[in-house]
Amino acid sequence: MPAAGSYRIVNMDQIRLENVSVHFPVRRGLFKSVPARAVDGVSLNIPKGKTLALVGESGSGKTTLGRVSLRLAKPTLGRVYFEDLDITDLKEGNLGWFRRQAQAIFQDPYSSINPFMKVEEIVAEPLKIHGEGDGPSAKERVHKALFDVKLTPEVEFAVKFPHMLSGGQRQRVGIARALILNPKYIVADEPVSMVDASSRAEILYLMRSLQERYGPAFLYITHDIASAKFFSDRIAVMYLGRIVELGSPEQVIGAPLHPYTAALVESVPEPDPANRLRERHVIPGEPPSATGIPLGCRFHPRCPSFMKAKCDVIDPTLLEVRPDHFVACHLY
Amino acid sequence: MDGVSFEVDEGAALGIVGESGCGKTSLGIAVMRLLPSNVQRFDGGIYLDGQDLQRLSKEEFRRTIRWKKIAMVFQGAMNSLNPVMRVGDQVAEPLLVASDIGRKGAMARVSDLLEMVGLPREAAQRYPHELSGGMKQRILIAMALILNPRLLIMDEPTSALDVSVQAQIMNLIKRLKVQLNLSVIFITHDIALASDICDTVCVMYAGELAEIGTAETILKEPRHPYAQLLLSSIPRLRGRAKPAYIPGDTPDLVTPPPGCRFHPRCPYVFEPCRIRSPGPFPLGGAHLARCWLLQDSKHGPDQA
Repeated sequence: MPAAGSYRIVNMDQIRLENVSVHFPVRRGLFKSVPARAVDGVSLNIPKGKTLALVGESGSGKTTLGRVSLRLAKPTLGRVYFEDLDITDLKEGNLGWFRRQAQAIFQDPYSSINPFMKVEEIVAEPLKIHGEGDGPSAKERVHKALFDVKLTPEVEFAVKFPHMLSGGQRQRVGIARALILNPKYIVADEPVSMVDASSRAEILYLMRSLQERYGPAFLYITHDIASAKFFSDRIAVMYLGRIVELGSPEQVIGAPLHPYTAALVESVPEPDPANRLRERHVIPGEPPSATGIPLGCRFHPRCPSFMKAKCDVIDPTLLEVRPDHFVACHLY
Repeated sequence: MDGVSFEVDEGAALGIVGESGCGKTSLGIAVMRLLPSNVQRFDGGIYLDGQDLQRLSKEEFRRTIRWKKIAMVFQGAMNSLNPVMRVGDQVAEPLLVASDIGRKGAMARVSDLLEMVGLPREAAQRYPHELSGGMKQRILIAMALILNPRLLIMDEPTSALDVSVQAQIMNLIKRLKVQLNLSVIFITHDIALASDICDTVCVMYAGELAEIGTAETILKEPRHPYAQLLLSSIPRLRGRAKPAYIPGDTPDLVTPPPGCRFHPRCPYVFEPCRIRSPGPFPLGGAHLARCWLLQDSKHGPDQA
């Protein structure tokens, strides 16, 4: 069965998740534990060289899903495909080739890089891990990666320590490290949320131009739907472990179908002096925890379009209701 | 932080907008007189209803101003609630210390306040771990309001919250401002968020005021290059304009660049910028900006 939203020619996909669920046991008291359904039956695909933005609030399962796609976590249910290879059950010892092809850029450049290592050592680390760290070509590759992320002059930046860099520069080091093996798939998990507002777009443009040059597919995980508009080809909106809407940025932001997406778009402040004169439309409440997912549609307790005896009973599936625009909602 | 002046009218909100390390939080805690002892120099006056607060002794300030007239919601404070104390008791604490109202009266006032900030009255009996992030933020706002302050300073009150909850809290702050005729100093890195509440916006860069003016002026027609670029760096959900960015990084405040602190990143830099610190130059009304380009604007230079 093709994944929902998959492009019809399957081997065009860099990464494909089919019906993936991740359940964690959460201890309640001494002997009992209840499952937290962090990700619950999600299918998605990213075509080669494209960017999918995974947008959701904290606890929506977007980071867990990213980890599954990198096989840093194993799904409880479902399959993970890299190109056409099923990598779901591969043991760590057999994943080396995949680790070389799939890299990650993390949120916090302050804690994800070793403060006692020089920039060149940090960037060269993946080369070492994959047995390519020796010889003069390694140093050349490090300098080229630094040049690619515009940490120039490269020779100067190569010998600096992380504390000598700004937040934006540190994040570039993270990008250089992710790119040095020339991977085919990169998960960027909130790559700019710790970077100053005036430098964020610069980092995102840089990732976009490197994608154009080297062609990796990106999973861009973010809580900021506005940035997803400019830096992705498709947007998937997650709520409490599920994808509730999937489509192009124009579709998802310009004409959202799911009430949650609509509320999310409405909640984002834009700089407008008229804002202060009116109240914003808001959805009441906060998302429940993944251990207490509501029956039926998981958004129904907060939904302005709630239909009794339907939304609280039947769990909606993600359906293509417009061309290439998918939504999981009983309104459609 | 250097040479910053501003005023906040009764019932009005001032936004202090700036990126990390620009000194916006120091400004907030300077008003509260909570600056750490390693501060090398603090000059200038802070006036409340015409009273010079700098002339009060530490003790007088603590007894008569802090929390009674000026209260503050600190950044990240939702994680500093006492985990083993019911939140109602934590909200009541300043009131019990400041008056002889007694526990019963204090708890009645706490109940009213919780209702005002949109929480059920029973929430007073809860412990912090039983509350969501949005609820904890409401508790902190209730705590700040318990002594009926005139001025509320809020430092990034929503930065740890999801956007849907952030919008709820902003609506609450807006409502309280009108209902209580509260003056607000709203400190944030997010100029879009500032537009949700602020009547006046002050944009800071590297510890200095770059531009200050009404929300209309700063958000629609900013004059300082930094304010203009900051505004255009926000990705817009509506409209097609792509976000811009400012090349380079904010300077180190130990050795700020000479002249205008923005000059190494400014696309319009010219000779005087590298030598002398500009302005602030008045641009009409309460609109001021520190930029040499604006020296000869039609309102004339000001050597203040």
